[in-house]
Amino acid sequence: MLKILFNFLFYSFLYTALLTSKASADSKDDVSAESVWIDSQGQSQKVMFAQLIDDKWQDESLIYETDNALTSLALGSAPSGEKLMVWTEQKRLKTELMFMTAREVSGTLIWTQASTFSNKGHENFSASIVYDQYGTAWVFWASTREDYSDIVLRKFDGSWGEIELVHTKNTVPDIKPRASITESGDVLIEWVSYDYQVGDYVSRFRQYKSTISSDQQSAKTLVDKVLPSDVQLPPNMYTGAQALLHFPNNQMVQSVLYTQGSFSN
Amino acid sequence: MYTKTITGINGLIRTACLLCMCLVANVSVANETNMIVLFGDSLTFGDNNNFNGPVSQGVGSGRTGNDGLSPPLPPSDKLDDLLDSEFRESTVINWGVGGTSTESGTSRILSNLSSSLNDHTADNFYILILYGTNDFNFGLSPSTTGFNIQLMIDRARSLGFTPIIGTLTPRSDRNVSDYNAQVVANANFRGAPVVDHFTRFLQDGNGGLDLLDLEFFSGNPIRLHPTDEGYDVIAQTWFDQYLENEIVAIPQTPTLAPVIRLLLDD
Repeated sequence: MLKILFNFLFYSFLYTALLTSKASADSKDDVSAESVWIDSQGQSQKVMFAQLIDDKWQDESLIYETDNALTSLALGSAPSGEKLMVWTEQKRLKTELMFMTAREVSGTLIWTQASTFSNKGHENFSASIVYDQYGTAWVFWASTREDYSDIVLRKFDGSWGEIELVHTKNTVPDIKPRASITESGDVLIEWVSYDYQVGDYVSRFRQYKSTISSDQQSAKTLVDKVLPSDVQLPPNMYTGAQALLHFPNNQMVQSVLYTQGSFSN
Repeated sequence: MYTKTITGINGLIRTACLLCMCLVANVSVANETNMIVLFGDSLTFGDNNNFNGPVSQGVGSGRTGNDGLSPPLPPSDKLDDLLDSEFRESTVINWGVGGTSTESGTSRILSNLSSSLNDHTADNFYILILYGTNDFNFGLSPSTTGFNIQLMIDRARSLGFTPIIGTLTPRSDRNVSDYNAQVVANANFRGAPVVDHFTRFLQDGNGGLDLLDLEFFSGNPIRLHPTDEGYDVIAQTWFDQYLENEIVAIPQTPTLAPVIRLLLDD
């Protein structure tokens, strides 16, 4: 029995080690930016991860590989340094949201195995993650359960909450959510929605009060240590790809998407 | 027994009738001109391994190839040649913009078509929309692609264009069936004709991949853009499945030489 248990633990450790990124031993404060992107090679799709330390991109590492098509990578960092990555994976009949988490052990980032984050509905796209200053993760994405997608939210504050709708139900596509934290510490979610009266796509937003009282919030000053436009992309990235730049020490603009030569948060 | 000998007054009357018929035929069929706009992403723009440089949009090609290679003609030029060879009077315009999504298509379709209307005159206006292969990479779901196809149909019609919707061609890195299902469903919902490039590519065997160029992005192989032959197939499929029946061939001026020769022989 003990031998079986030992083998299980040994191989579990071995498997996890295979998914271990070669992150440097520097502390998280030295990492000014991180990037995740998708590398396609034939049928194989790979999620690559790299860290920017002292203005130099470290060698990228493979953190996930599958034969399914991937898109919409999102990355967030908790104040504790733990990471959450969410992405869209094209399965046979639907697109599911998948996730992995990572934490630093002895200077090395250890990624867990990929798991399903949401397979509700038949389309799950375009995730965006922010952590508020109290460590709650806010994950927004566009999910289609009926005709067109809606923006939904799932929070993690020690345990995963239920999926909730961000806006009132409508009959148009609500797409491309981008989350950030305001100076006052609120969670700001912006997205794009079609408006029949305007006859075009328009921007929408909703602001969520942070999870603690405003008195406590006012005592804190939020700062962004990195200006996204100051950061170059990793050199080995496929230039036509969509990449996510993540700034683990920023409290407001925590991630930006890089698509076809332009940034958008 | 019928003979072709034309003699006497009967022959003269018959000849006069024949000449009149020829003249009437020339004036009774109007020579209508057609504007055909190809609208989409790089599959319309005409990218492949031989070419990925800039091209003036809204016009023909005027392009040079990569590394001295012969550039592919964009599908618009191929379609133009095809229509010319079939005597279908048309101006073919390319509004393909590489690397764009259907969301971009909805935002530029009115200005692009208005620009073409200002630059060219025609009696009939058609727009061939082949859009959506990049949407997955932009995080746009198949249902959003379908919605955007509907928007483009409505906007094209508002300017007097007849929209025709093409299904997405296959690609090596992922399945586009879920997007095509939405493209077809939404075109049908809006009553727009569908031209099935996807199935036509599959008919060529090997999942249609033989009609796609092998390209390398950061060293990674992908088949996404059609080969030169693949672009021929796209142009031919637009023609075979829609344009051939819609755009009337110009009746060629009947030559009287054989008739006169016949008379002289007699």
